[in-house]
Amino acid sequence: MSLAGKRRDREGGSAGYGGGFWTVAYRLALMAHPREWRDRYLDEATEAFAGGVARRRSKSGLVALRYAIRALADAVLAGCRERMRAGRRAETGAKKVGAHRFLDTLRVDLLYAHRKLFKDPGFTLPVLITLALGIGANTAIFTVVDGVILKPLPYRDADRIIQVREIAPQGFGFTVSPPNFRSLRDQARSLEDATAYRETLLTLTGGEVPEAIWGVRVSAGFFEFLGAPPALGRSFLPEEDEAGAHPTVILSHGAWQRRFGGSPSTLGSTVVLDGVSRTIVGVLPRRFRFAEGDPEVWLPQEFTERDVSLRGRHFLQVLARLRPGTNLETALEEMRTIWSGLEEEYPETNTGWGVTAFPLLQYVVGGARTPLLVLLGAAGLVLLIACANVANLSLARVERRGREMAIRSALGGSRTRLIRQLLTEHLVLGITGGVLGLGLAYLAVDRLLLLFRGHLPRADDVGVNGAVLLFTFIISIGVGVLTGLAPVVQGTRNDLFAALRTTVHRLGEAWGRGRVRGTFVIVEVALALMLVMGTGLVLNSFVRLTRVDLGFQKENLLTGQILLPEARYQTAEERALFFQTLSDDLERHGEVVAAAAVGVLPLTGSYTHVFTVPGAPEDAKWQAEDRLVTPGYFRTMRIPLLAGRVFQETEGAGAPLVAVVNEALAHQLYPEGGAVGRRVMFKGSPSEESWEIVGVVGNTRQFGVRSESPPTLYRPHSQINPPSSMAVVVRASDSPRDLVATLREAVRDVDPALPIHQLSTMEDLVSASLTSERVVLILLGLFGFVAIVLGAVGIFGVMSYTVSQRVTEMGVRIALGGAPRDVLTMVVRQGMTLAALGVVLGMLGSLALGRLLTDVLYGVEPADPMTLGAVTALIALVSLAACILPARRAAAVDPAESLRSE
Amino acid sequence: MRKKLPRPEGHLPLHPQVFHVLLALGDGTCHGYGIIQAFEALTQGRETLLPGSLYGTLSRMVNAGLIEEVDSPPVQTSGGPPRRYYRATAYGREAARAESERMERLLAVARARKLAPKGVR
Repeated sequence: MSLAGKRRDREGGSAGYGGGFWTVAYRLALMAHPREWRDRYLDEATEAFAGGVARRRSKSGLVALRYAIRALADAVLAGCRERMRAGRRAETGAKKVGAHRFLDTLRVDLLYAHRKLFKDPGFTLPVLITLALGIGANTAIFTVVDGVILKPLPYRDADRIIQVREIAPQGFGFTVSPPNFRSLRDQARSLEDATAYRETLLTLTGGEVPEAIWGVRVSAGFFEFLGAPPALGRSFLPEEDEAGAHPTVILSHGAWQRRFGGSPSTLGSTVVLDGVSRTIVGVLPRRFRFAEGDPEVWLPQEFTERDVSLRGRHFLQVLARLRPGTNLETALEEMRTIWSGLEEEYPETNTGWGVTAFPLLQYVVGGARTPLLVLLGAAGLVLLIACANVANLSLARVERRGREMAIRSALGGSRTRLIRQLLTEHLVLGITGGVLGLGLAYLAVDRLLLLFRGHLPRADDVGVNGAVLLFTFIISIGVGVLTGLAPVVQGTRNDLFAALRTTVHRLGEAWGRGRVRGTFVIVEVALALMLVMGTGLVLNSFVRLTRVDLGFQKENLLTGQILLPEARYQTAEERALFFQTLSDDLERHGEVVAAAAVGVLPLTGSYTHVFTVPGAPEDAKWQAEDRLVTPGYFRTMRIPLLAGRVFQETEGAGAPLVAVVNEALAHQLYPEGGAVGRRVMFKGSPSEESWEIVGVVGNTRQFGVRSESPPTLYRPHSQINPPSSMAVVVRASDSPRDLVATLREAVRDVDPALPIHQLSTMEDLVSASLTSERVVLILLGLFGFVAIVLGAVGIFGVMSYTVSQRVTEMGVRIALGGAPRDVLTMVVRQGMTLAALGVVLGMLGSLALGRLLTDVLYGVEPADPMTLGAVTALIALVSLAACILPARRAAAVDPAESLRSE
Repeated sequence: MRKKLPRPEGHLPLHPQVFHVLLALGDGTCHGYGIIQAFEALTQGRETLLPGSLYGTLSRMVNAGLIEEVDSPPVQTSGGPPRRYYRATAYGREAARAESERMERLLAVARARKLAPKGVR
């Protein structure tokens, strides 16, 4: 009876059983069946399956789940059997179409590969573990790289958004002054649009205790610029750019949920920020992210008259969008023209100032880029080592299967067919390793992000996605091919006779094979050395970084930021008095050794001023970090006094103006010495009084642990208009953490409505500034360790193999009077020759690739001889250990035994 | 075009799935999904037939002459996909009977060895 004629119309057949997850999965599983079968039974079988699941689900979900899994497995297995039957029918009967045949062979290969691999867990398990670790490490790091560096920012036309910065006369990047921003926005033709923002700390009152929160002041049109208008309410209006408009605020989605329970009636209500009551006019979309720290509130710019008139006051971050078709270079050229125009027009404020711009993504990612790429490279090296190891294991396995291969080809198996079979096995290994690796990476990514402790930009964007899956898939296939090549070449050129002979001992041949495997070992050792060398260099830098003389004693210091609301602290005297009173009160506590306040804490930022010295040429000027401090600052930080004196308590407003400079500035101004007693003058400030230098103190790192100490000038905070925000530093006699309550209490005693922001010990601040270095070190250390272990396993494997292949030879040598000791030496020499070749190759590789590390290193040359020596010694030692065991076995060969096996 | 069939005993022992299908069909007419439901009902849900392998088995049973496809289904009741209906042939029922006898003989042996469950007659 011909069944083919009964093919029925399947149109509409898929109605009636829906498209739930299990049904879809089942239909996929049924794809294992041959086409013919599917044409006839696919819908019926799916219906039966769906019915089976539904009947069981009414009893219990678990029963249904068990059934579904069983049925899926049954579908795949039955499909494969069905195909094999179809294949057999086809081989005996009609011819088959090429593609069809290819797929069927592939299926048979896959089935066979699985069976082979399952039957050989001694090979499969170590290989899968190695590959899973290698691919997992790469996938995890790539996931982070993808989220941070590769993915476009989540803004409208993000690839055309650039960050514009001014360049200070000393050459470093700087924020933009509002008048310069307006000139840019009005004049630049190559820019479609521009907008500005500035991050700010705010005090939220109205709750039980005053609270410190992050906010951003933005220009009107900022959210539209980024393509993220408020989800609720409105954006800021152009008139809100100027001070005097009714005070408004827009909430982040998070703040709206946390503080207002996500109620729509929030719009129109008010919050008090820095003592100003503001009407809530909008709520941002849930997914909107901008700037670090996830700011809670967004305020309009509210520029004062002074803000928009003083070109010398730089405090804006500027974003611009390139016109379509314009590139960054053209835009930069135009901007430079605009800036030289400004320089001519406003020489007083703009002389020497330039402009620069770069893609926003680059600005956001910043310094995270290099460490991440270094880690990705290191993970790649680990994977290569893993591949070499697997290839070696696989070579040994192919040789064990030599007879099988020989029989297959003797029975007419073509060479291509054998190659296909072997390659399929490796692809199965690669992909299985990839799937396992993906699982590991999935688990590892969160832990990886935790390591960064919030110091990784765009951490929110990191996650396993399509790009990551594709990456893992590609490297899995790559690994399969890479590890399969050598065994394929080796396994399929076996000559029949040699393989079919029952004795294993083939002296010359063993050497030939040994050469291929030796090459793998050399490569492994070389790669391991490169990796460990990188780890060593980074470790070396890290140690140096932790030992950097910061210029002050970081131990036992507690720091916190205090922001005085302008509404309540309007005059300079009030602000100066607050910080002086607080410092004095704190010093009265028993556990407080000293306390002071400073405008900008060391390591955390920059605040610079341009000045000149009396008698210098008209256009001569200098720039220095300007630090406003209370008199006790140097004592509290333990910054050494080198010449002259520090400030006295009496040197407040009204007293003669005094300044203290650091060594770097003193040297810059007066290389021959004698800075004390000279004077400096500040340009552009309302009063052009001169300040007498009364002392010289030691250098302190201002921008971070890595950056050299800049020229710095200190002035008493009470002699000028002190900023409304200063950092308090408290030196404790014991653990600074014990002083947290004391500090809070002291602040509350002076002003109960003030919160303390960013409370932290100085040591934690220093440690946090080294976070990315620490993460790189931890991961490189981990990778380096894995590399050494894999390298050692590689050497051990090859030497064991060589010894086992040459048992007879060893036996003969010993029988002929060779001392076991000589045999031992011989084996060790052979192993160490491989290691030595690897070391040389690795050294060359390190020298070639070392410069890629320059950006992450500190105080160490990429070719640092000490590190290279230590790493070489370590690798040599591990290699030696890996040779000893097989060598001892060789030396212990019983000549009689080894010859009898002949 | 039906080829000459071997004696029903030639199929013994029957593959369990084949035997189960014959049991489920009895002397009725049924489609694949119905066979699964009937079999589960007959065994109080203790045994099941999985669809992935069932249809291939049905196709081979038709080829072996154990069952036959009924050309036009009596009445299409529910709104599922179009279904094929099957009926056991006399030859198939003969094979099932032979398989039962074989099992009975085995059960007798088991009983003699005290390997049969208690309470069986």
